[in-house]
Amino acid sequence: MLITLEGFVVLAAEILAMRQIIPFVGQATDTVALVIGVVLMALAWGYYAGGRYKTSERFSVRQKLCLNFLVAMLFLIPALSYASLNYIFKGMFTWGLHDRLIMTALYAGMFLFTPVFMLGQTIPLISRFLKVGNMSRLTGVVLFFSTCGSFVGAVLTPVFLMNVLGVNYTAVVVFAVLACMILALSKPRWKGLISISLGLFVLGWGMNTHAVMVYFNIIKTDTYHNVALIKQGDSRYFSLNNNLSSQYSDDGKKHDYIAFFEDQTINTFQSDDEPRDILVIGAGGFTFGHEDTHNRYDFVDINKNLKDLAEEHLLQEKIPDNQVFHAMPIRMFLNQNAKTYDVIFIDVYYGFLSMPEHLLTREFFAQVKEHLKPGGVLGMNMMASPHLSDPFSRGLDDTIRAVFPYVIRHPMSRYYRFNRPRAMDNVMYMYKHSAYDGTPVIFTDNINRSFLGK
Amino acid sequence: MTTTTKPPHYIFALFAVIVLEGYVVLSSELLAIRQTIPFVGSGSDTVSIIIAAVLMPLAFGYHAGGQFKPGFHKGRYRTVRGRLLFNLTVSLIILAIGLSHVSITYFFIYLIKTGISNRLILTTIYAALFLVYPVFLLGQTIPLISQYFSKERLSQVTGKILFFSTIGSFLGAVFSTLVLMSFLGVHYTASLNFMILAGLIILLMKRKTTDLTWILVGFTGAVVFFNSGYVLDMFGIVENNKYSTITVFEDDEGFRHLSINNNASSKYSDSGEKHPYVHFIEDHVIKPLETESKDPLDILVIGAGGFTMGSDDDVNRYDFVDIDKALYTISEQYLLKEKIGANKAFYPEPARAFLTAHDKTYDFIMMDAYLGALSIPEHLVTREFFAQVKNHLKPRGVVAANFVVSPTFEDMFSRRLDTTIRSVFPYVSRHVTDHVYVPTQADLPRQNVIYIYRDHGKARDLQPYSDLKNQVFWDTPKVQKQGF
Repeated sequence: MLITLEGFVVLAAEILAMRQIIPFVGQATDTVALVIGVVLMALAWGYYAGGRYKTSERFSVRQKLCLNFLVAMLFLIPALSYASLNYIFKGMFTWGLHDRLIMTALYAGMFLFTPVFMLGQTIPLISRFLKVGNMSRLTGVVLFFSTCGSFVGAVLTPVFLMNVLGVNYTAVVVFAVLACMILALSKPRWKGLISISLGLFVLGWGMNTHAVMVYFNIIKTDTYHNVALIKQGDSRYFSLNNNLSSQYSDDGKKHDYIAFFEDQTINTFQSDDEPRDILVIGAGGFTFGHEDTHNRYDFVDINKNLKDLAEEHLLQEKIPDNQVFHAMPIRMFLNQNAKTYDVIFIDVYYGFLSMPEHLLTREFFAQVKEHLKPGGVLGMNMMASPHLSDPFSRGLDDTIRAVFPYVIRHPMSRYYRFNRPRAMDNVMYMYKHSAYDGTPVIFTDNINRSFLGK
Repeated sequence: MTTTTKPPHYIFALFAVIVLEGYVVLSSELLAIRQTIPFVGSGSDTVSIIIAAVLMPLAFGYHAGGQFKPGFHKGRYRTVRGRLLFNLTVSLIILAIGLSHVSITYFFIYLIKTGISNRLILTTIYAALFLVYPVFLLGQTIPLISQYFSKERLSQVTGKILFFSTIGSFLGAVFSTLVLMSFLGVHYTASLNFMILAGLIILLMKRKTTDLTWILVGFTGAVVFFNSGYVLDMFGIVENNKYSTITVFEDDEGFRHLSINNNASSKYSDSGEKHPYVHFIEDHVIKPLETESKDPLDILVIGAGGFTMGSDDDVNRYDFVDIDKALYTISEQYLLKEKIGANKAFYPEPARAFLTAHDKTYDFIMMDAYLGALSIPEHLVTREFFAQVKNHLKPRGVVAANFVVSPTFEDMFSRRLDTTIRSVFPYVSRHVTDHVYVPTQADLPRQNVIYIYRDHGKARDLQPYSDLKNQVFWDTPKVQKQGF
């Protein structure tokens, strides 16, 4: 049982860590790889150290296990609680650490390595309690239960616990399991240990209560997002994973880029026109076209909670009947639907830390293009360098132009900031699906047909 | 008729007619090309229409002139002299309308008001009405005059006639553009053509002082007046040379406008207000670059216009390049109303010649030679030209180019221009100064579009991100710009 629970705790802690740091360092492959790498390395060292542990009369294996679980709990409480993470990353930022890889490495090194190292010792330590009748069978049984625990931790945590309890209470579950493991191993006379473990559990619970979330304006945490509602003046802001995703006020004020793209598209349609088909990829706060009850909208977002949250907190009214929400992964939606659209608006790139990599590929953009009607218009809101000063902005530009050759690129701030090479801004890409995507022609001194097009 | 009985001055007069006819035809062709630029642009296509409208009637004119036989026709005796007089008079009347700035202006305004906006159709109508017939008539001159020469020495006479005709054409091509248009102006060059035609008519008349003579002199005088500086002043034209018709006028709000070939090239007010794209460049390119550099910036402006770019800037070093040397004094006198700063040098030479002859590199190069949709110099939109510009850029330098194109790539030119620019400047920003895109509308008018490129040094080769090979996490900035 302990082996299974240990497996559960390690995997649940790993997944929670990856999920909890997204608001601070993003969800790129590199940061995820760092967390996984630290966990695996700590596990390996833990197995090794557990196997070499030598018992003494003063400190038994049972005591060692209890101490390991207690230390793991001590580290995991700050590692998996939003409140402490907020201060940890804020502190790093204040100290001048702005590189997300270094921040992730520091976090994982300081708060994940030690507890996983401690937990990794569990199997070799417990194996001493088992009778070595058949070594092969014993190994098989131990690994089976450990892997079962890992499986439950990997599946149950994101699929069930995070969605039903929220990320904060999923962390509390992990702390509770650790506390139970200590209690199960403790002898009644180890009152100090029991008290400390219970105290730590209460601390962990206290740091993850709903009240603490409210303190940070967080109205919902789930598998995908920390959704916060921030009020400033007349405007309400929806923050998804620390990125100000949407803005809305009672008089209909929205983010500038939303209003800009509405002006370029839906506001140019006449009310007596045939309703247009509009696809919004990345629902955010459902602000795009919210006042439009004429055209037909499909909103797609992976997070099914966004609609209820937007209606209740941001828009403070129901989304009109002409707007349908499809709660599913975007590429799955595009794969399963052949419908084409007059307007497609992609708004899933909340900040440069939170750019879903699978939604930045040539194949994804080609998939989107296939869903445009002839003459249809595509808009994409990106966070990029206004004057293409960094590799990401250039790579993104290359990728988009590989699919959409004549694309408009409009920095929303209207400033190029040549003297600030690292400046990032909202950049709107706009493309009209026309028949002129033919072979590109270059004017040369030798063949110059520029006069034909004047 | 033979020359054997003609005195030398008579022979001289005949060759003079041939020389002057050759001059008038070529000069009129170049004047037509030059005079239509403000209305239909300077593209190869419009030029070729005018050249065709001269060459084809010239060929038919030669043929028709050769077919002419003196004799009775419908009860009247037709002479070679009479035919020549008719041809020259009709040519004078039509060319006087077709080459005068005032009549051309009203003609094109009328056509455009009637809904004809295609420049090729406009050019074709103009050429058909004002060039084809007079050139057809003038083309008859050589074969008609050749009837005065002896047929015994046909080869020698033909050689002489072609020699003098070609000399006339040579003068019409070179002297009228390089000398007359440059020193007298286009309008007086046209007037000279009218006077030559009138002079030829008088030369060929048997009686020089008839009523017809005075009518001819009066008509020519009136046409010359309509092409005088006095009348052009009434149209606000301050310069009319081989390159540009330059107009300066002041609007109700106190802005002075410099128009080059009917394109609103520059705007200036006493408070220093300019065209929005000029302010945009000054505020978002020059000023940010100043903050990066301790030394004054080296700035090259290709297409001087009214010298408004950086007009308030006394610090940075500017090189202005424009083919039209008149722009400098006109800008000082009429637009800026003050001397251009000592930190600004002017090179009155073709842009590509300047770039070929100079090795100097710049922190910022502004390409502002594309006055409007019609007046885009074709040799300044090629890959080779852009590469030449790039070679004159310092490391981390910036290039900007102002075009009037479709903001949403609706037309072929906008798309091909974009492809050409990106073939040299791979990561270039394309900024629509009015911020009006509306890709849902197909008939969006052309607007000022500024291409801005910054040299980022030798960047590694990037490839599109794909599902199979996605380096986006590697390229994503590792550094956060703001806290939480």
